[in-house]
Amino acid sequence: MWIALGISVLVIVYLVSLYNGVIALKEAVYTDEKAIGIQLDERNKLFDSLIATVKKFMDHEKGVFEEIVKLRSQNKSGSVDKATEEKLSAIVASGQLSSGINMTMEAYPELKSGTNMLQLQESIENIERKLANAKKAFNASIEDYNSKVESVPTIFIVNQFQKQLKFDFERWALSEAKIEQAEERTVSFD
Amino acid sequence: MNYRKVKQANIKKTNIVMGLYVLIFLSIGLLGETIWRVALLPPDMNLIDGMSLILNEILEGKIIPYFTLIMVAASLGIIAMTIKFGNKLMLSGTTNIKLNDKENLTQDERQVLNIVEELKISSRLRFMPDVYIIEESYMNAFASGWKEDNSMLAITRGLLDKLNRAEVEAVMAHEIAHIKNADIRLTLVVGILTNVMLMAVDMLFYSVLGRGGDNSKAMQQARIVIFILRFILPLLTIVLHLYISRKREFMADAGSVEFTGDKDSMISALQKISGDYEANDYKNERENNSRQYAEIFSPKKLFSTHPSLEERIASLGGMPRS
Repeated sequence: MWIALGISVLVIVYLVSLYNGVIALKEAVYTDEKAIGIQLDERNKLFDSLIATVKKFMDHEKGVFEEIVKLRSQNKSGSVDKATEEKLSAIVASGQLSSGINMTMEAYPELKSGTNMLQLQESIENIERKLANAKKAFNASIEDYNSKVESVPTIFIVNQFQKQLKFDFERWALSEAKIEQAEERTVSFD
Repeated sequence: MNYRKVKQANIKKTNIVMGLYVLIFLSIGLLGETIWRVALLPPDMNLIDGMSLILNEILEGKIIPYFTLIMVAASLGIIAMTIKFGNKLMLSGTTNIKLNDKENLTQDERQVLNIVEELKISSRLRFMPDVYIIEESYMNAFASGWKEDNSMLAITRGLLDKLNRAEVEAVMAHEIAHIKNADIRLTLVVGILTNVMLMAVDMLFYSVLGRGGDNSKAMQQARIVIFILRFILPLLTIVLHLYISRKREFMADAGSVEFTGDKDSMISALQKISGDYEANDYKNERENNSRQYAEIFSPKKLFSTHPSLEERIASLGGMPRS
């Protein structure tokens, strides 16, 4: 008598845990579905601010560069003073330097837009991967839900509570037309 | 590689071994109960009959299994302590920086954090783990944490410098798979159960020595069993522990492929790490043993917590290095 009661309590606990398990999987699918939208939103905002920042930086550095070149050429057009010129030609005449070589050493300030471009690249890769991973995670959650719901013994519970437990989720996928379009794409630098 | 198949096969194997572990634990408990109450048994009863008699009485609720309860309580106590201090213990003895709330990240550090964020999404981890960089030149990484919400990942500077983005991603995915599979918890529990079992056998050993006068049949047999256990059990537990640990490594490799969709980066990362350990002698690395079950790679050959490079690559579905 007590043993029978004990066993039936255990069975009920087990069935309840199956039911709750399916609920948790279903909720995970909803969360992961919405996560795709969150990533898309983040991507849009990030792209706008990234492009604005990088543009501003590049404009600024372009200005700096032009200024330097202008100043340098101004300096060149002015004459080198007499004493220096004599010294230089003395060196050339002594044969220490072969006269044919015309050396110009110019130091430029380190420009930052190179590093900025790298950071930009990393940010873009990051957000694109997060978006793709969110889609993968959504599909994986559906896989978990489906394989739980369709397997024994959960399926018996699900059949009893169709309304609460049975859902027909559709995996994230490109449309056929878009897949064909994507297949044809190749890298071209023209 | 079919990561679903690899995962399933290894879950099955660990479950069997875990079942065996619990069985050994309870048997030692029962042996303790029997020795404790050996005076109650008829003097010519043998040990097996005595143990089953005691087991029946316990199941009928006539006696309370104090010895086993104390063993369980000790295990739970130690587990509670490790939950609290585990992560700090794992990082002890290293110079490390936490990336999550650091300002002015370098390019590399930003990349690691980005990779973990990406993997957090693809692995469906609901919490962002703490990410640490350990300032050491050897190549390794490990994960820790009792539950997903207090988990952490650590990666050495050497690994970060010598691997490319996809390989770092594969390594981090392996560690996140350990978190998802609750491997840190599993190996900790196994380790703690082992130590409690060994302590219990030691206690029984000395109490049996102290009771030289008792010459009932069950007691004589119990003495022999405990003498044997004292030699066999340490070896047996090591073998089982290593077995579980290796199976979990295969699972984590499979998880890495699941989360990144890229087995080749995992293979090349493993090859680079193993090659780096062959080329260099990192003597000071092994000083913190608490980490070795959690790391991505173990340079040891015999008694290694990790399967060999060849086995791991074969499991990943790659061709072994000739």
